[in-house]
Amino acid sequence: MEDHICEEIKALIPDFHDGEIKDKELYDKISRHLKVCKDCRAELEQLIELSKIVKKYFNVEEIDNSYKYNTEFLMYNPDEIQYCNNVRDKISAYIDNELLEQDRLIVEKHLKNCKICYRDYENLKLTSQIVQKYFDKINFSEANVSSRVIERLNKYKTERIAISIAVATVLGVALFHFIFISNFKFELNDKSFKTKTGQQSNEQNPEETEKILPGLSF
Amino acid sequence: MEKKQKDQYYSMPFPDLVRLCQQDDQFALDILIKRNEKIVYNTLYHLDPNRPDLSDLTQEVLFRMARSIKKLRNPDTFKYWLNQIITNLFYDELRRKTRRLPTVSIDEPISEQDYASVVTREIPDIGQIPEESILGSELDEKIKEAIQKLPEQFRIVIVLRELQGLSYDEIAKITKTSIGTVKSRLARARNKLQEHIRPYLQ
Repeated sequence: MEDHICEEIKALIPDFHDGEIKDKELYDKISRHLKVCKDCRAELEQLIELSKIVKKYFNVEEIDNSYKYNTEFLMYNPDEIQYCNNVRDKISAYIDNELLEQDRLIVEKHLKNCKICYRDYENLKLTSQIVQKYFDKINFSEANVSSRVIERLNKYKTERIAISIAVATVLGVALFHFIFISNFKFELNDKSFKTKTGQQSNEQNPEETEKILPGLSF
Repeated sequence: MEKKQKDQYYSMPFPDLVRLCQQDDQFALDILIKRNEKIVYNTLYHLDPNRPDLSDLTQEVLFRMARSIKKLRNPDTFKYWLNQIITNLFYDELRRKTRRLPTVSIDEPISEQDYASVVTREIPDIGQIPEESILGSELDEKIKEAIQKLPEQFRIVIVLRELQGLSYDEIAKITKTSIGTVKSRLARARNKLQEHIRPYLQ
């Protein structure tokens, strides 16, 4: 991948050297690459040296205005070159004010010193603003949404109340039955218990109880 | 008095309006819905522009918002909370459904009313969304196209950030990713958008 980029850039270095790269985007791309790639930078430096020799041979004055390329990147120290890569990844978050303080300071300092990264920052910020404006232009012209939502909400609340009442009624009835049946069973249990223990033997004959309540003796 | 109150409600910060809604202020609820309908529609539109029922979905989101507004414990997080409702609806309901065109039964009997008026049965046109605003400018068209071309995970962070103005932390929670992922997705999404609109940046 890197080799592929180097090949592409190396092919453009003579044009770059002669100030023939008119496309801003392409110019920035080459500049960025030269900042980080020693080989390609060496190629350009070689070309500059060669150009000096040729000019000397033809007795042309040293470096005149015909050199349009920006030599800024040749003067960068390695740390700063490294920063370009690090900073570029952080520009988006910097725009959103979402960087940690220490990162924010690094980006801010670098943007003051690096024109290329500063241009990247400005373009990205502008992109963000344009997108925000675009979103603002979308219209939603459906009428009465609010009243329809509120109407649906009121219907939902009424239904909920109706369901609550129904559930409460069912539970109430179930509870009533449960209590009533439990009491009834308890009474029966009580009677059979008393009969079985024979404590009140004269009250009722056990056989009689069997007759009255078949299957309910315990 | 009512107009004054209406103006006041329209300019009130969302958390304050939410607090009034939680105290059963119906007027506040009405304004809260009105102030959010465009942004909800807009969000859904950019999450899935090809859906024909965006109006219904917008209404569904607003209904869910109104229904559970009292459950929102911290009204300061309203925007985040609303976007959770939107994305939950988007993920849970929209994407689970297979995207099929609505069918029209040709066997279904035509009602008497239909006989009385028009005998032929018309197939509804799902291609046009009446409320969709046609964006005039070339640049807007470019942006619209660029956003639609973005992969979904990039599109959602752009919408949540640039349209909804959510923080990275909130976007991370909504999209169930880390802040680092949000950061890189947003940076890449912006770069992709920038590529599309570069000629307009000069």
